[in-house]
Amino acid sequence: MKTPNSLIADVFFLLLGLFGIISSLTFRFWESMVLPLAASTVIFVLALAEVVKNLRRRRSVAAADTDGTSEALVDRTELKKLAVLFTWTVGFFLATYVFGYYIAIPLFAFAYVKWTGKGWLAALIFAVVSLAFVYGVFELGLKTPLFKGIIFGAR
Amino acid sequence: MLEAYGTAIATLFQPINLLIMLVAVCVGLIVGIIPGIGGGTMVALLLPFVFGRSADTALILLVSLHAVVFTSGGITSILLNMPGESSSAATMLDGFPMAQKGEAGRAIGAAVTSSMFGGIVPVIFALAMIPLIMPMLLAFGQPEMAALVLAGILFMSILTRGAVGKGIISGMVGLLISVIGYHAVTGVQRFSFGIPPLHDGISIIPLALGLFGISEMFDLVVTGQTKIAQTLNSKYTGVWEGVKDVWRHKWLWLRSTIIGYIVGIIPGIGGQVATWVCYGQAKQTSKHPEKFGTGAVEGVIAPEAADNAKEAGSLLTTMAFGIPGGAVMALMLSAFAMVGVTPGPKMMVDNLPLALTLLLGIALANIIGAVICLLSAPSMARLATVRMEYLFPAILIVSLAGIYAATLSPFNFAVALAFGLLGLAMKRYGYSRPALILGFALGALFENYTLLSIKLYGPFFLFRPIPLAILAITLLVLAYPYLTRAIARFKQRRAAS
Repeated sequence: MKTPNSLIADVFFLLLGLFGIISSLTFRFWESMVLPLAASTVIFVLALAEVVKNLRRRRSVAAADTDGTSEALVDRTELKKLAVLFTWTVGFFLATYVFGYYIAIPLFAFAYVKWTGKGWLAALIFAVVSLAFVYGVFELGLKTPLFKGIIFGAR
Repeated sequence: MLEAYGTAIATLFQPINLLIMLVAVCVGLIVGIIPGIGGGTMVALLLPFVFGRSADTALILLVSLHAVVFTSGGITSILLNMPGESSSAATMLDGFPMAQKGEAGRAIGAAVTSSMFGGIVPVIFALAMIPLIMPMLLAFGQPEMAALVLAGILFMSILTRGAVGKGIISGMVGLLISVIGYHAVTGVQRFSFGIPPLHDGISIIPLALGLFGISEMFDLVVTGQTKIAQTLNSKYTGVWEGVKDVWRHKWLWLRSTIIGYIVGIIPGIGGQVATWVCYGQAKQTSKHPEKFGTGAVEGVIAPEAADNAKEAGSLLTTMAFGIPGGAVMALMLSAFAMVGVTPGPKMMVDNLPLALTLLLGIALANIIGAVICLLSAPSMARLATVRMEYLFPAILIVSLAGIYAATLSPFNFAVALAFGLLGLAMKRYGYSRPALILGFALGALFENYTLLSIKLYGPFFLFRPIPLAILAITLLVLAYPYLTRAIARFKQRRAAS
């Protein structure tokens, strides 16, 4: 089985460090520059060390790899699952933004539980309980009205 | 001082605070039981509820919840061979074999009693320490505090197993995120890219919920877990025998409690270190070390005492120095800020009754938690079999509602999602989420101390005696694994030649 390698994350932090250094240098006063510049420099230097260490290890692992079981950058199966999950999450976020919490919550709760293969009744009960919980805690308990969505006049 | 104690006790025993504590303890016990949802996730989920509450009620809620998470964490270790909290893993080694031998009740009795007293006695240590550390706190100026904050962030990187570099990167990323928005001193906009919601910076609530709540759920679903725990061994007799076991091994329990407390005081050293160190010392000092791993009750008592003992120490450091001992305490630091309390030396002078209330709250929460656990451990363990089909949407719904309730900005949905993905990637690739949250929580404080120190003492303010000593100790601790490895290699080479 292939194991994940942190090269992608290392490169991400390397670029973040580089971006931080360049941006910090554009700040007008030294007071606003000190901390971001120092933190970005540390990120850049350490991430560079991680990238170099990783590339060296990948090379040595690849040289010793005879049966194609070397380290993988990403696990494709997990990536597919993550993409599906991410879509559900973004869908819920968008539904909340458009329709507001009190429509999006039962809709999402019902659809997700049904999609995972549960029965209609289980999905329905879960949707109702979720809505009741959020309404009870936020509207009644904390007296905090939740987002009504852009269609229904967001607060 | 006596007056402060009186106020603290009166505050703690107010009916509303007792009610809040009872609810928090129940939630904390449930969270501790369910593997995957740690105390950090739950404290993050509860941060939105802190807004608008009085300081004592809000903080009692969070402190009580977190205090008992470790008490119930041991129950799943014993009954299901799966730790509810990562720091309860050491309890599995002997707890589960005891359950297999039909001694689940005895193991739970020992674990819960050890946890309870492990949570109470360190509070007495902490209360006794307050008058001793007061003069030291008052002697600390800006450079000393800047060095301490930096040490806290660097210590946290030790938690990133085998990758100190990645831990430091994580802490620095947290610092970098903390500077987003207007700089209070100069008015300069930093890293806000002209996006209006970023002008005031990033709120800890979407950040924490993304890093701990959403990413944890992503991870559990992506790794294909349908049920968190699969089996349940529910034979439950001999609880009283377990309670008596703690008395029989009282010196082991006391040693473990003291070790746990000391580990808690030092920022960045996690609960796992405390529990494994105590498990090791229990085995070393036992008359029957060969029985460890096969169901020795000492192997349950030692880690459980240490796990709860560290909390009082960690809370004391957070309140007295403003430096959180770990990720949960970093979130707690933000909660303090939300209710208008600034932890640090000033808190111990201006808000001493609140500090005492919270420490006493840990002790009381531990007693309530232990009673509930002893009465209902097998039923509670069934909660660990909750299915992911319900857990994922439930956490997502509560997170999203909490984010809006606390920040009133739908923009923060996107922030939480972005940090959810970042948190998942960090977890997968060996970076430290606790270090990031610590860096974020301490960023503003560190910047203020640093700028003031530079203005007062010049750019080499860290070369004053106390800051230099603090940094030297920190670097020594960070370099320790590399130094020992280098020395071992040197010795090997000398022996070979």
